[in-house]
Amino acid sequence: MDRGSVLSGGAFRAAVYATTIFLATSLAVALAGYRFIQLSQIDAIRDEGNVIVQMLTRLLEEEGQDAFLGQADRMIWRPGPGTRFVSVYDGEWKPMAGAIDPAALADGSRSFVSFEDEAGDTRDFYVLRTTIGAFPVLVGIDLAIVARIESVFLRTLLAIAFVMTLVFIALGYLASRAAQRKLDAMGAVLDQVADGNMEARIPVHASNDQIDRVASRINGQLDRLSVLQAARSNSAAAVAHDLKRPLGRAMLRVDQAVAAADGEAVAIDVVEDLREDLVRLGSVFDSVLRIARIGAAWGERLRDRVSLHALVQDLGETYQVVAEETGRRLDLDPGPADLTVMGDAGMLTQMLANLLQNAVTHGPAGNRVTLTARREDAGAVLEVADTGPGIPQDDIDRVVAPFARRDTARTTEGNGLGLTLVKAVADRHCAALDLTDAKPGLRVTVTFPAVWTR
Amino acid sequence: MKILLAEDDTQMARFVLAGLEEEGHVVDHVTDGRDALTWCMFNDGDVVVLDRMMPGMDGLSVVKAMRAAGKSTPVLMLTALGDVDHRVEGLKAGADDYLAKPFHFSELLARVVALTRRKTDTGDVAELRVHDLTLDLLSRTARRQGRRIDLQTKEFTLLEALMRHAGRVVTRTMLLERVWNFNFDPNTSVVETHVSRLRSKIDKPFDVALIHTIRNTGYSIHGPR
Repeated sequence: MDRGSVLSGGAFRAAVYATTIFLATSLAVALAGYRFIQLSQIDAIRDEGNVIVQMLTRLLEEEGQDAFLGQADRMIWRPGPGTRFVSVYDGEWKPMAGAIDPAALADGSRSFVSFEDEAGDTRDFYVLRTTIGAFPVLVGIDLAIVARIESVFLRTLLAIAFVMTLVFIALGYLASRAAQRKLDAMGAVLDQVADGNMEARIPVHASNDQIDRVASRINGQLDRLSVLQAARSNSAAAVAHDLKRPLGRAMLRVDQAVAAADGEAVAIDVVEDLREDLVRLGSVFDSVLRIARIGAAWGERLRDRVSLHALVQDLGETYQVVAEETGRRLDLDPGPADLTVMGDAGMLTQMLANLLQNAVTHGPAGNRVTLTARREDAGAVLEVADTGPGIPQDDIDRVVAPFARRDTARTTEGNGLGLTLVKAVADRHCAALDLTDAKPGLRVTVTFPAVWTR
Repeated sequence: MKILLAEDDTQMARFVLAGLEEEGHVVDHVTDGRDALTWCMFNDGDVVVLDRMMPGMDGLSVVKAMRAAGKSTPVLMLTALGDVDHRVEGLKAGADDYLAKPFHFSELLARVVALTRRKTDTGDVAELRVHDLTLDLLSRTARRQGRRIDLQTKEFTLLEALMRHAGRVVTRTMLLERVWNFNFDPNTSVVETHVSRLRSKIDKPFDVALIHTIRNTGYSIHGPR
């Protein structure tokens, strides 16, 4: 996996954008917050200053000048944060009581003043200038705590911003890397498929995120592709075999006919057999074409509302006659009279005819076949079951593949496409096709989706 | 009968032409759709056998034009496109029957003959009769020599199809289409078994057999000749 891909990944980019936005927002918040804290702290300090002024004013009024000056002296400048001082001056601005040093404060009208204390540290103060009685008074409050709060705020914000940035970037990188891994796996599987390994599938993780969902869909398409490929390679061999056989016979019979041209009756028999083979040839072609067309029409909507009851009744009656003529028996259970599915009437007729044909013409005499239609929770069900030789469970998957036949069945005629067509029609109707061992015999169940059943 | 064969595959046309003439029909042959339309306008043919794909004008357009001009000559359309949708399209355009290639000549012949009598046909008749067999289409009952014969639905429809073309050959494919509405070959003896059943009810108990098998072609119902 190359870093470039990870860094260009959507997750990483999103993380970068998110971080940038976060930082910009944080900056704005920081500035606003800082200002707000400053202002509210100043307000608080100003209030405190006013309280001190009020206290001193009351003291002057109620207890006289000496008490007033004495209090001012007590509130002297002490080292350490939170200091308040009061400076009282006389009319000529000579210090009378209170904080000794800040004579420099007397001038000016600045509210924020800094100066050095005896330890040599610079201290910041908020200074309230007012007059109590006839005395100009300065009240100063240490701003150290405000500075502390501001500093804490900024440091916290900075730390958070730093950590969040790291976290975002890291998450983005990790997410992008994880996605890249999945995409690499996808690419690798598709490469394998292109090389001919039709069994390769993309791993789908339990997290089922967007990539996993696309992976599932691609796997579905690969399944379909795999079936088509298999069918094609089966067909290539099987078609060659199945078509060449009647063709080969036809050739021989033409030779025979030519040779037997003077024995008229013989020639007619031979030519008639030839015709039969050509009919069979045509029938295989037709089936292949039919199946291909059904598959190609997959995206189109089905338009008829087909009554399964009527289908079973109708086709059932026809094949009952066929069954009896060959010493077998077909029982019908047409199910509820209002059971219908959305579908193509012609295709369903052909599908059911194929199933019934299989059931009533294979197997020993005395074979009992049942044709059922019923409603289930999963949807509408059409089922054909016989008591014949059945198909072993292992062979069942192979049987539905085009031209696949169980070895004993090779000797019976039919074009090997019957069940393939059944599967094609079932797929077209999004119906599930299940073949099970009916012990004895074979049960073929077609289940139409509930959403199209009524 | 006077027949027009409109088919641009000359090899195939040769065979069909020869076969039809052997059966005693008078056949004209064109290879272009426009010529086919011209022929139809100026001739009173009995049947037109029309290929769907032709140079000049395709079969569907020819039929549509014919019908628009009020020509009711029966049309049998031939085509390599045999599936249901194309069939419906052809019949909607005005064709009377539709036959997919490749076909047996006997199939073509049977259908051509089936079409020719359409004009005077037993469309709205309430009863069909062959020799001593009568079919009451309203009450859906069959009687032979006055005796009522019990028939199942499909058997009745089968007998009706045969009797509507009494004396003529009805092919297996025609029966599969008209009686069972199968547009495919079911690879089983659906028709044979039903005809056999029908025979056991209609023919066996009586002295004269009415239902005849025409080898490799189909069936025909008629009285003694």
